[in-house]
Amino acid sequence: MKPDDLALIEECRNGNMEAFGQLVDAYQGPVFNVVYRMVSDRDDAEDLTQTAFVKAFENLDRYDPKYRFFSWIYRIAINEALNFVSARKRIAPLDGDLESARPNPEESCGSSETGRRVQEALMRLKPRHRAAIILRHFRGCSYQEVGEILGMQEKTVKSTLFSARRILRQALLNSGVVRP
Amino acid sequence: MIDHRTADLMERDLDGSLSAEEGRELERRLQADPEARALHAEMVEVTGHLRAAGDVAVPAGLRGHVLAEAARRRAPSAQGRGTGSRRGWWLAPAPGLRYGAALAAGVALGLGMAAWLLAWPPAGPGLDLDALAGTMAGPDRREAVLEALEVSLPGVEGRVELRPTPAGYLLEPILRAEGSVEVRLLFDADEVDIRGFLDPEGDPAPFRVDRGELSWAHRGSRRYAVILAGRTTGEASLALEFSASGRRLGGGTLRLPGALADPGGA
Repeated sequence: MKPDDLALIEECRNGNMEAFGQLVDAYQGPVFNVVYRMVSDRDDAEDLTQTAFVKAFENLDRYDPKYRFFSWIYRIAINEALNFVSARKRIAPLDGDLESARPNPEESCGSSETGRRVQEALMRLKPRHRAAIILRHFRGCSYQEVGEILGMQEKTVKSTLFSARRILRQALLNSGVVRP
Repeated sequence: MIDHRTADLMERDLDGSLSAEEGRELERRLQADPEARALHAEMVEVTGHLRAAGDVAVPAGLRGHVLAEAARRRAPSAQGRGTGSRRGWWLAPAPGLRYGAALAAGVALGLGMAAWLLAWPPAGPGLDLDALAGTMAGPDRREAVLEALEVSLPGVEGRVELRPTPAGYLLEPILRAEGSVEVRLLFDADEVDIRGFLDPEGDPAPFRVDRGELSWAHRGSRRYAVILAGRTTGEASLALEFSASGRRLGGGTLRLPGALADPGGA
């Protein structure tokens, strides 16, 4: 927990919106990127990031300072993304006439062809495996932090990452990003 | 089979958290175990690609949208949310509105035209539609989509989205059709209550309502909004059917939760 985060949160609780703005400035990039990697759609990621911050704002009184603020906001954002992905998966046309909503590959915004393929490979992982990979390898969270955010024990985090990377490698292999 | 210690050392090697002694231990283990050596190489390769993918740019207006919505939620006039207040129901173009300026203009026009809000049945105790209409030109934030259906049928395309709102659920069919298409929304009237609907295009919309069915004739590109609520705590199904010239084109279903999730539950 950075001391200045704690001070900003205290000011937010006292109604200082500028303090909340500073928290948004500090964390909107990481949170948006986590959510984007989870859902693979910029518009949905923007909506979900916004929802996560507003929920955090409305629940600051429930924030426990023994956890780092970024862990807390990541947890809220990941839960939003997991709920969203779950709802999207439930779309089941009766007769196959309507296509369920899926991210448009054109909307994937990696900076390169490889970036796009990496994102597509990520989307082949189970959502919780994807979340673990994103937190660990895109955001540099420790195993303990990944565990806190995803509600897993550390050893589960390690085994999840281990499995997820193998699946990811296979997906990257299939898409030609890595060579056999 | 790779032993736990080797796996742990390999895992921590990826982020450079091994001590010098642990690094040497890992090297010895990799030299002695071709399977572990191959796996380690794979892991290094995959994580390298993940790092190379980098970050994506944050949408320019995100900070402003977050602060505006947070401010709105803490405003005294919004504190009645969840206790019958109608504030917070709005209809504004989604960030990802993909159907062009014509639709966007229609939606914007619709925001200022409360007269186009049609109600069926007449507003009951759960919803004051006059009050509702007055709140439409509100903030530009929308709740995340709960469920959606992509429509890609002969003669009609678009998307149907379901979102939670403090006043119920907002069902938004956003459709483009070549000619005239009959749209039917079918539901169990004992499970689902239609609270009202809005055609932001300005035409007193051609909605027909019968028990368990809402239907209308669609032409061109339009966006509609239907306010729904579950009558029970269980889930309900909303079936959408599309037909043209008496011929069924196709259909799909959405799931309507029985009760709104606590929007404050982080």
